[in-house]
Amino acid sequence: MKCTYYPGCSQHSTARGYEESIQTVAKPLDLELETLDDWNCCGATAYMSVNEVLSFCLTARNLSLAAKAGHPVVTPCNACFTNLRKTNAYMAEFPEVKAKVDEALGAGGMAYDGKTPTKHLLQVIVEDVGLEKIRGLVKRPLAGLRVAPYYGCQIVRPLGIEGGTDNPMMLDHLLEALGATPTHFPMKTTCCGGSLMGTQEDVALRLCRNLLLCAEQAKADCIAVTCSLCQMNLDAYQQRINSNYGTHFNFPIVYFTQLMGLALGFEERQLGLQRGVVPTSSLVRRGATAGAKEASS
Amino acid sequence: MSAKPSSPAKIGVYVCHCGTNISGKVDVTEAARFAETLPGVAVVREYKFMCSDPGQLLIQEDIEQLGLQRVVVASCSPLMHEPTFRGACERAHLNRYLFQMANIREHCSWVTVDGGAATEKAKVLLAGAVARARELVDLPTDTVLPVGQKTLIVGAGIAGIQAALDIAESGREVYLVEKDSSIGGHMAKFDKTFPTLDCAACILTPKMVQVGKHKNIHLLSYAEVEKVSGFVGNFKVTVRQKPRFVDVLACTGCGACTEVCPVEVPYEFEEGMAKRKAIYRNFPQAVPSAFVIDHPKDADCVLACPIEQDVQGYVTLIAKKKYKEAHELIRRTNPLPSVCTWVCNKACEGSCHRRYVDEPIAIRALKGFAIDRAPIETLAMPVAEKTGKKVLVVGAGVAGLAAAHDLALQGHAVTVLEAGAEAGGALLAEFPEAKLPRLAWKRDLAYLARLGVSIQVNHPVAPANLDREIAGYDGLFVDVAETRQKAGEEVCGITRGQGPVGKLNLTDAATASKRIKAQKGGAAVLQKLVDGKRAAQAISNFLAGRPASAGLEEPRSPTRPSDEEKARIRGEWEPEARSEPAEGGAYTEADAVREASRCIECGVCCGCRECEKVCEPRAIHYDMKETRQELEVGAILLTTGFESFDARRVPQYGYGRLPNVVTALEFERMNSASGPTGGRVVMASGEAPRSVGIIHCVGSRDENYNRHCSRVCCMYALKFAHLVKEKTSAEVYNFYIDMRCFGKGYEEFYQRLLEEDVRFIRGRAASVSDMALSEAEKGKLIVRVEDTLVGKVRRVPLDMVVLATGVEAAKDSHDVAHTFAISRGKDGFFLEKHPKLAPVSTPTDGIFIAGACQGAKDIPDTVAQASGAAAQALSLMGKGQIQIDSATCMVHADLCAGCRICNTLCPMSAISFDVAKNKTVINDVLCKGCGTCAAACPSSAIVARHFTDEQIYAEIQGVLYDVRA
Repeated sequence: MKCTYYPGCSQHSTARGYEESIQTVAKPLDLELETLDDWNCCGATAYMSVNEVLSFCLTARNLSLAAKAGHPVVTPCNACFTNLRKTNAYMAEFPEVKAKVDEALGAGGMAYDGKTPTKHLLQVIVEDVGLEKIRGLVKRPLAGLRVAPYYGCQIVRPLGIEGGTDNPMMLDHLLEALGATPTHFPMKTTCCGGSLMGTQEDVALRLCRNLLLCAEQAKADCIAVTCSLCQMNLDAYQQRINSNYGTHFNFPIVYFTQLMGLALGFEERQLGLQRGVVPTSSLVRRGATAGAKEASS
Repeated sequence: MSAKPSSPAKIGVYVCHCGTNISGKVDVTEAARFAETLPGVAVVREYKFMCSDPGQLLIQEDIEQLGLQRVVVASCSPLMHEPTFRGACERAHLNRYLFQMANIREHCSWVTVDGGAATEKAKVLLAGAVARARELVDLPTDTVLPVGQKTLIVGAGIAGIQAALDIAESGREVYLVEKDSSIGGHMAKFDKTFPTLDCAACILTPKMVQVGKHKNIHLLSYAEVEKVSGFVGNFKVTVRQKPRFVDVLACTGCGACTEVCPVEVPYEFEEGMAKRKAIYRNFPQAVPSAFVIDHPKDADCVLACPIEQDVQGYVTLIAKKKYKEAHELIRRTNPLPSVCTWVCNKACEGSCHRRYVDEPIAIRALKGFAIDRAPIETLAMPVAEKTGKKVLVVGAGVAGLAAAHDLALQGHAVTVLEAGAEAGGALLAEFPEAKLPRLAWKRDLAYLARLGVSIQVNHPVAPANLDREIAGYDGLFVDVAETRQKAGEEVCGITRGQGPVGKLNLTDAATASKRIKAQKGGAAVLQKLVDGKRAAQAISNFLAGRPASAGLEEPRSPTRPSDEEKARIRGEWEPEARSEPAEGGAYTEADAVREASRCIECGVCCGCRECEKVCEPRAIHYDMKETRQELEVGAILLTTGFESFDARRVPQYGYGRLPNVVTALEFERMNSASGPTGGRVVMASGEAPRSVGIIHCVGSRDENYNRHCSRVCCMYALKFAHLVKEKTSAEVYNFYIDMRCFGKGYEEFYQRLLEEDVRFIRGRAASVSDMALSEAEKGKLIVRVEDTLVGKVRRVPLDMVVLATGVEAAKDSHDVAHTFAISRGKDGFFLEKHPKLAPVSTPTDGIFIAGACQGAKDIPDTVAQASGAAAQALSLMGKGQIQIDSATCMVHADLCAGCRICNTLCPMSAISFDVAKNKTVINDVLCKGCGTCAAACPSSAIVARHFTDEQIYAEIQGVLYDVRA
């Protein structure tokens, strides 16, 4: 399965672990991720809030470059995903937007027809690679591991993946296929605060605290995420939340591809698991021993 | 139509000032002077208000005194005053179709900026009108049709009930059709009604009883309208009566049947919060009070069986440990059930819906268990009145014995003559002891003996001797191939006395039976069973003088459930292992009962007939079929009501996922004294809630679902708040956007609630969740809402949440509208003729609408509309006849070539084709004169009266009066 891969800025900075795990699992999944040449930042949520039309232009440049190869554009980041989807939708629905984007692209000698399909990496893995195949590749089923499936907000709204905005099951099913137990997680699509962690920290901290509380009530062992910003907010600020709210959270926040990697038999360093702020060693140990138990029984 | 006058017609022209509406822009005097120059114009007058009495008098006097033959009025739109001026002409004895109007207001003075241009346009319009007037001819004004005096009312909720009573009281007959098994609609489900807090049942049931007893009301319950044809005053309606399986008049409503019915399913009337039996009625005061059976003999296992055994019935009886009854039920349809348990290919198990959960029920094994458990000697033999007829069966093969069995059940005396030493020779030859134990075979023979069938072995019947052998018999079935052929190709002949009275071809009788390809094995045995049974039915029909095809319908096939249905079944039942008897052995009782209990009763009524046994008035009739009747009525009222918004469409509110989130109707049933909790407000745990929240506007005033306001929810939400306060000590919160308390006593009711300490939070609830963020929230439902008056987002922990679901058009309103040829608005409700001035009539003459089917409304408005629609219907019928407009299309038969191009074009379905004469025919009454057919006719055979080609050309030429070629 060939895709044009749009990594987004975090993949080489705060989300290095995500990137490493993606590259590792892509091989056994037969996923050919051709990184888009000369891609630019999409502006994420921050720029969209400042200047919507210019944000569309930024994203349209990426889509225009991708159009040449003709494959769907796949991104691992929820914010990039929303920008890609919104750009296509707004250009189609509002001629004024299309006109401005066309003008901007034209100034650089580029053009975009608005027709490049866009997907999130989770979708490609679950829908295109398929759970059957993944089940067959699992070497170390994550038996007994309780994972809170945290989708975040932008992967489901406004123009998100299938399954509705309230209770999508795509990640849940993937975790089941890996042998793990996805927990009941009512806040699975509640916002983590995103960029607000930088501008209105108390708001974002409170939102993240609620999410961690929800995971605690669900008796989860860890939280699986699909977005680099969600990961950073929940992981890097967990200590701050503990000291602010007097809580004692200690949840490893892992990317779903890292869990996939564990189940497929890869090692900690191949998946960037050592990069988490909250230590993931307990997870790795459990995954390894659980898998070994399975293998030997 | 009269011929045109030989001299050019005298035309009177009247130009109206309309105050300053016209004269303020158009120079009326100049226009009038222009009109004087037009050919044929005898007089021109100007007047300030032509539509006034003096204005009309002007026209009348001129007609009488000047002998005017055509009248033109240049004023406003014909939609406004054409009837006025036509009336004036008629009072002066001038045919109304000799009047022409020119619109120099809406089409001229009101839409033209420049006065000069307006005046020129007025002249043009006048010239056209006068030219057309010259071509007008008079048309009949006395075409009348009688109006039928009976009314059809569709839907027996409070609207239908009220309208039916109003019309019936006038002495006219009403057919009140209701698709449910009893009347009352949604109102019958309510506990109390706002604002008076009257008990809904208390005010509704007297009317329901009146309807049930009124001599002028024919109540057709459990029936639906299938087809409507005709036109105002003369409708023909086909009503399909669904089979109730209970005689409405005989049933006393005692309820003994429900005590013994083994099947339980969710109770629709109780909004799924309780269970009912397969035989049930909606509520104790139901009108009609008769019970109804939820479709027996419909389960796929029954339909898959070649002889349509009551499979679900005997399986259910086994589950209830009624083995004797199960065995008796089996033997009602199956002549050789012991044989079947050894040779049958189990089509029933292949269609069993349980297989969508885990494994199909082990039906064949269970059948064997029941037969073993209840010896033949202990069975109650079916009692049939002896007919005194004697039937001879030649050949004791499977088909012969099957025929013998069924004939004996019908009360005939049956003798079977067998050539061989024992019965069933061919069957026993094919199936050795290991495949078919002789014990089983003997058991079935023993039962036949108990039925009184006489089997004589070693008694061959040579084909040549057939006529001699059948002497003294009334009927004959031949199950021996050679003899059949000799007697004439597969003939099962029926003779009486000397010569054949009637012969039936066996192939005919068996034609429609399921043709199983195999000629060997179990399948062949089943085929022969089917053939024998069908032959027996055919013979019985003949002997009883019934039509030949009675009881010999096309066999049905199992329906296959949809994917949604399969998913629903999977979700509803927990998988359980299938129990089978030990290898080569028999079931233990415990295993058999457990296996039989796995049946999911997908066909609802299992056909066990236990109810029939306890029904003293003998009101239960399993063989009821659906029937149809044709009604002729003059007026139709649609009072089909509404449906509630499905709260599952708003997943954020957690309905269906979180316990203790209920819809409005569920809460009504909960509060009702006859409901599932006896009127107590309780949570799923059975405890009373300590806090209840009511969320307004669920599915209403919402771009995502319905934009409209449902009108009743604010009031019933207040009612609920009051009821909670009355019955519990809970805190009550109403989450509202606006409080819509518009009716009489409504605002006062709201004030009362404010004094009862109900908390009102102005804000649309965003979500209901079980995610507790603090100790206080643990175990509660949290409503997140923006309190807009305070400006803060609040989390309100509650024990119970009630969703004030909105009112929607019924899902089948599209089909209903199509059946009655009326329109619906964008929101799906039926469309009225005019939203302000004609809310209960439709553009289709003779069809009226009332109640919630026209739009969301409360009970007072519904009753008012129902009486209003009834009044309109009475007004129509009171006239006794209606006048038909003559501006319709007409076919000149001699010009019609029979090409039929016009046949499919008519939007009013007014065109039909006379095949014998090869001519198109137009129904004058249905035709509205749109002219589509006239335009399409290649032979110009169709004339659009009052809009003929000549009239239109003349008008065009008049309008172009000053155009030089």
